[in-house]
Amino acid sequence: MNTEIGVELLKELQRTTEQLPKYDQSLVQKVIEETNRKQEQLHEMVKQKKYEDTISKTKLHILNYMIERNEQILTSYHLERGKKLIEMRWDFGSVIPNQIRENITQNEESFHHEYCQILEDYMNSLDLDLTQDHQPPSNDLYIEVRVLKDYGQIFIDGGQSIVELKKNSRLFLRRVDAENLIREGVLEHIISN
Amino acid sequence: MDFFGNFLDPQSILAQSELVPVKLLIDLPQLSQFNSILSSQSDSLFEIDFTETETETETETTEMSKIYFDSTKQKSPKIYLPLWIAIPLHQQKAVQIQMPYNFSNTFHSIWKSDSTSIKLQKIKRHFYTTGAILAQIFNDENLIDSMSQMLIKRFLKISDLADEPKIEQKDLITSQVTTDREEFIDNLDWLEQSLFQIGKQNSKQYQIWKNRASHKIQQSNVSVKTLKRFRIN
Repeated sequence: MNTEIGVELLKELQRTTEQLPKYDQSLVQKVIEETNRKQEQLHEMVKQKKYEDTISKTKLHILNYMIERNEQILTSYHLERGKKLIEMRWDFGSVIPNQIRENITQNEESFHHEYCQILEDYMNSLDLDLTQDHQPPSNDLYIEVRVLKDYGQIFIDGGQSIVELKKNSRLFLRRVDAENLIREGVLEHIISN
Repeated sequence: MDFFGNFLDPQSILAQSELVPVKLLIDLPQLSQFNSILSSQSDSLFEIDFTETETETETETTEMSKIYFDSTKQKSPKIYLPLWIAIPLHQQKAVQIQMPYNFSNTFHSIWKSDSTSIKLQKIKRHFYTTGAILAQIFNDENLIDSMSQMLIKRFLKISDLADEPKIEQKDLITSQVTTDREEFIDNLDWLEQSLFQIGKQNSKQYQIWKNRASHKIQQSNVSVKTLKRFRIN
């Protein structure tokens, strides 16, 4: 069926276990071609003034519904992918992992970049990092962390100190400095009861 | 009348692909015309079967809608159309949507009495959405009442299962490990599956809170999924 091609795009997004599946260029192209074909048929009918009787009018309506349906599906597909990219910025940071970069188009990458830029500008204007504290923070300014992989050196305490992150080492860092690295999977937050 | 809520919500769009039986109200003496306008290359919205059959068979497919000619009723071919086209044509009075067999009054008493054993996925993937739309079209409060009661009873079981860990039971005769839990979950409608997932997350969050770890900073989903894929590769 014509529009069931497009529905496969949405089903792919629902089914995936990855953060963002590979952009299905071939399927999107098929849907666009299908829509263009229907558009041409519609224009042909209107040009030949084939809409006098009820049957022809119904045919015109059906063509129109099919075109709208394809547009709806394509818009929804791109919107959902855009939402996942936005979610990634809040969840992970402004750097796109290589595994995800392989799955996105150039347009999506530039969308992500522009969104990050807008967010940075907004946060700078407020002088606040809105991406911190995904969970309600406890009273601890400093937290204990374990390093999960070798990461090299990082700046802490507002750029005043440097600390080396070596695998399996335990450190006592400011929550503000550690949170992003914990979310990236470099550090693990240790809670002692 | 807005039947589907959010225009760009993927689940609403998927729900609109559900098929419903319709009756043609306009005279279509040459259905091949219809077929040609809707088909392009190998695609077509309708699969038209021109062979006349004496008995009417009522089957639905999820991929194509079919037209069967009933020789006892000359000009009343039965068509199954997806909701996204059936509803606007119904509103224009080109077709008349008919209540699907699985939503008829016959089944309402079964829904109320034996709610948890019904395999909704096999009836419709988006059972409740389809039912709500049909109830709106036919002004059928009885349908809404029956579906609501069924959902309430099934929800009790769904929320219990969301809290439970997996329990496997061995079949004594075949010695195969069966999971009633998984069979029930696999046959949930889309709405019920969402409720189940939310229940599971809540259960997990409760355990974290119970272990006094709700302030623990979690690794993001993105890094969990990408690291997992990295390890598999």
